[in-house]
Amino acid sequence: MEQVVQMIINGFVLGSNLVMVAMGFSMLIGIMRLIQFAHGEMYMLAGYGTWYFTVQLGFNYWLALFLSIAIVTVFGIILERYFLRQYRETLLPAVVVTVAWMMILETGALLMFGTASKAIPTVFSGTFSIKGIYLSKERLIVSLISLASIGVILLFMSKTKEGRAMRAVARETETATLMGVNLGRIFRLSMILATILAAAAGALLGPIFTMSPMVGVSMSIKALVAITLGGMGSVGGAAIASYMLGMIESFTGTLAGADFAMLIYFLTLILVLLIRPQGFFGFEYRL
Amino acid sequence: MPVKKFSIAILLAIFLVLPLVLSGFWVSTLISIMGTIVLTSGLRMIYITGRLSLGHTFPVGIGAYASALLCTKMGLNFWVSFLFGGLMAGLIALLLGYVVLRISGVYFVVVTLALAEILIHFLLWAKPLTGGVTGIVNIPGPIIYLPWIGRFEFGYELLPYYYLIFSIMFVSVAFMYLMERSHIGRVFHALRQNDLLAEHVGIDITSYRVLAFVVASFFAGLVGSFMAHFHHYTCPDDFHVTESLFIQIYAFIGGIGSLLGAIVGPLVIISVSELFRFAKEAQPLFYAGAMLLVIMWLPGGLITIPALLKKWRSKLS
Amino acid sequence: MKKMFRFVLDIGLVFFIVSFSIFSDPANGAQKELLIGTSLPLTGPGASYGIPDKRAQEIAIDQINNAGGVPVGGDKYRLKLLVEDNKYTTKDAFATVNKLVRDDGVRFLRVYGTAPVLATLDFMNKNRIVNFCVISEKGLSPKYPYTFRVYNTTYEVLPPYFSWIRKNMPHIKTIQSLMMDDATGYAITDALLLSAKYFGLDLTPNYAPRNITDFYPKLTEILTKKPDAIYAGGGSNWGMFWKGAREMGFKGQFLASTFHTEWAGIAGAQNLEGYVHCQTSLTSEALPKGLRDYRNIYFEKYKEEPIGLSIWGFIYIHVLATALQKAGTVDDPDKVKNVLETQTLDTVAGRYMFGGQSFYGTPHQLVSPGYITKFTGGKEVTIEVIPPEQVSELLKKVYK
Repeated sequence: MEQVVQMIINGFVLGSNLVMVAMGFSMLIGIMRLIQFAHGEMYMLAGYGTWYFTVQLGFNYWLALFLSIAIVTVFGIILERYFLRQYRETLLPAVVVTVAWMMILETGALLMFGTASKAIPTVFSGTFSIKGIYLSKERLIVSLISLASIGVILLFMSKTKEGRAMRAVARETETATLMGVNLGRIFRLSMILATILAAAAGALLGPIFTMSPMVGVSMSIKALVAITLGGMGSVGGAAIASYMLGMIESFTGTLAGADFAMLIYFLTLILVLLIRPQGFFGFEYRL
Repeated sequence: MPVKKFSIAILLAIFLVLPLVLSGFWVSTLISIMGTIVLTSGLRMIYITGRLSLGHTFPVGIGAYASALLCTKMGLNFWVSFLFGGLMAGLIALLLGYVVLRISGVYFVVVTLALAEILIHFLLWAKPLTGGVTGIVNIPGPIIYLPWIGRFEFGYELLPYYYLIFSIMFVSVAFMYLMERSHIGRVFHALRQNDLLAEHVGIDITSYRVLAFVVASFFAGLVGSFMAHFHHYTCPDDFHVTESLFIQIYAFIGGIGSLLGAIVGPLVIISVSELFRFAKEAQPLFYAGAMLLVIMWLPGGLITIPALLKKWRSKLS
Repeated sequence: MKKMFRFVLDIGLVFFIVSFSIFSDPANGAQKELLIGTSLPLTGPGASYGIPDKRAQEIAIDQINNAGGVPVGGDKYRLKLLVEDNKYTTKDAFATVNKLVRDDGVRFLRVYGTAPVLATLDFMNKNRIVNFCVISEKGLSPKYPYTFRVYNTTYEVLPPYFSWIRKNMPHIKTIQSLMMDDATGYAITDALLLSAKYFGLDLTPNYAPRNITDFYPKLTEILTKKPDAIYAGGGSNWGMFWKGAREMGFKGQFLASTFHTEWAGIAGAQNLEGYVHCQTSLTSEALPKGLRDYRNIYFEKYKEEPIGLSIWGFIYIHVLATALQKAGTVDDPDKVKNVLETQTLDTVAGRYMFGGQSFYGTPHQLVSPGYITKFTGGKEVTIEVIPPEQVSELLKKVYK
């Protein structure tokens, strides 16, 4: 029984790991109609940035976190404006551009930081344990921050003017422009939010999961699976799907081995797409 | 002979003579390129029916393993295994096709990615059958019987494989070219442009899409099988998902508007990236940079260069 | 004025030509060049292993060349290393080895990585290339007469290690192991099971993906079995495993056949206190001086610690050079093969011999000393060295 509870907790943590990146990715697909293969690299870069500032330069962790997120976000804004915006609504050209950037960022990180995984020293040490179930303080705090971020984003999207504008653009771009929405600003805003989320995830999860240049790619693929399950364009759906996938990975990983777990992961995806192509909460998405 | 046909003939002749003068490294690179050309052409065929596949390593892997297993475990010769590889890939594409090709747009893309991942994890998981992560070793090469010479084993020679893959490429591309030129090809293009209309006119759109998918998968399976026998080894890592992404990228950068683009793409990009090999760890940077340059300045792909040059020349005069 | 200028220019030119011929390499005796090839992963997932190995080979080669080259049968050979990137894929391994053998005419090769080796073993042996493979599976066999291994697989390090554990930690009866679920991990587990069986330890194997990021699910599964010790090892990111184990309340013994210095930072030194493994750190006094010098040269040049595994690249070059010297030829692969199989080689990097007849069917595996190293007080301390002869005996017993 304890094992089941532990698996649930582990699944929750795995889900939290994914949720922030997946939500951002979902925003980009919904609002900019763009599969951003290089999104996982934002996560990776922020993680490395945090490592660099804390370990190499000795800054305080929170300062390092803030700086990394800021730098990566600025980079994201530039990337969006000059390389991504003109490829909205296209599929293949967007793939080419984003995959190219993925390679550049990954190789760049490899050249700058070397190949060994980097460790960021723990900020919150200690573990909670209740009756044989373990949860480290670090993971708990990060999971809570992830949950909080979901709340913040969802509130933002539904209550604020900007958020509503973003949703309008996602649904009906032309009508939104007619209503006076400045597309350029909305794109920039969504990129900022998405990048902050991914960067924050990278910086926060660095101490828990170690960083290597290859981390970006697997994150991108996992996020893609999450958003597809949750439904393209639905940020809430992406969040729910992330936790679901976390649970699948936790349970099958512990019980049946990693390869089988991944098989199930992807088979689930295909099955869901067959039955309900737009995922749980997505809307029709024609290209 | 019209100019175009003449220049193609010259090109083919060059291809046939090249391996005799090039170094071993470039011969094996050209072999890779030719295999990739078959893949990009097949991918393009799927594309023109209105579906984008980012999981072409799926049929390639099926072909490779089906062929390797038949050959090593059941002792059948290369030619039978080779054909079997292609047929298995085509068959599985057929079975999956009707189900999967109904899904449209981005979702279809994700499904193809998922299939490619599923293949890899299956190969890793089914260790007793597939050798798991170690793969299959000592896959024998083809043996043919020539007049005068008698029994000839390809072994580790490069040239016989070169001519073999050249023939495979020639047959596959010619087949796909003719298919595109025929009535079937016109239906394919119609599907991409407006499938609702096609459906209303009474065309069974899914069947046509399946046809393209199966044909592309069959040839992809043949290529997979060829590569497994050429390297005498195959393992799940050879079918990594990022390879699928790259194949699609080559097709696009070459110029997905025409079959020639699908041929030019791998030829140019792979050759250029091999030239950058000296950069060792930094090689991907050059490679990716080139990709970005092409897509930003040549959105129609590399084959639009002649047309662009013509435009500039007329502007200058 | 112009004439003056011309004059100075001419003098300068003459001076330049003369000095060039004086300072260029004198054609003395026979200063020849020997090409050595290596195909290793310089980009992609294996880069963190391939790049240090390449550097190690380069350092050894520079050492030899600076001392005048390898003396073989009256001539002195400068070694030249041709490096190719095999990206850890079949396709590139095949292409690069083909290039080195066919186009560059290399007769001595080192191929790094399980898949690259498996793809090219047959080809190299058919062409009688004396090759040194780095593959964590069994690999060696009488089928491949020219393939040697200068690299300890877990098969070589476990018997002395387990023998020591049995003697010095008798309270350990049950072990849970966690390995990567790839070729290397399966091979290591196979070795673990063989040694565990011989020494009467109850070992249960488990697997996880090499690039795993979260160990908690696996740890949950393993720790419920309440083992006396846990055995694991993978890349740098596996430091999280040890950290997670302590976070989950495990108080037992940590065992492994590797140690990455980053782990102290990742897992925390106090969590790793008492960790015992069977490699040795490169700064340990227990290592031959030549290997400690290697570490210092590497650190000075690249400003980072070389990974432990890279010493094999360094040792291999010296072993090969010494063998060539003893064989008296660079052109006859059978003579070189013979020397490697039968003679003890005293090199700058230490004293080595090849063995492993009983396990592999062919004596092509390097036999090196066994080490027991403990992580204590924040650093690694080598607490015991087992001489190669003793290791050889243990290997024969465990793998009879």
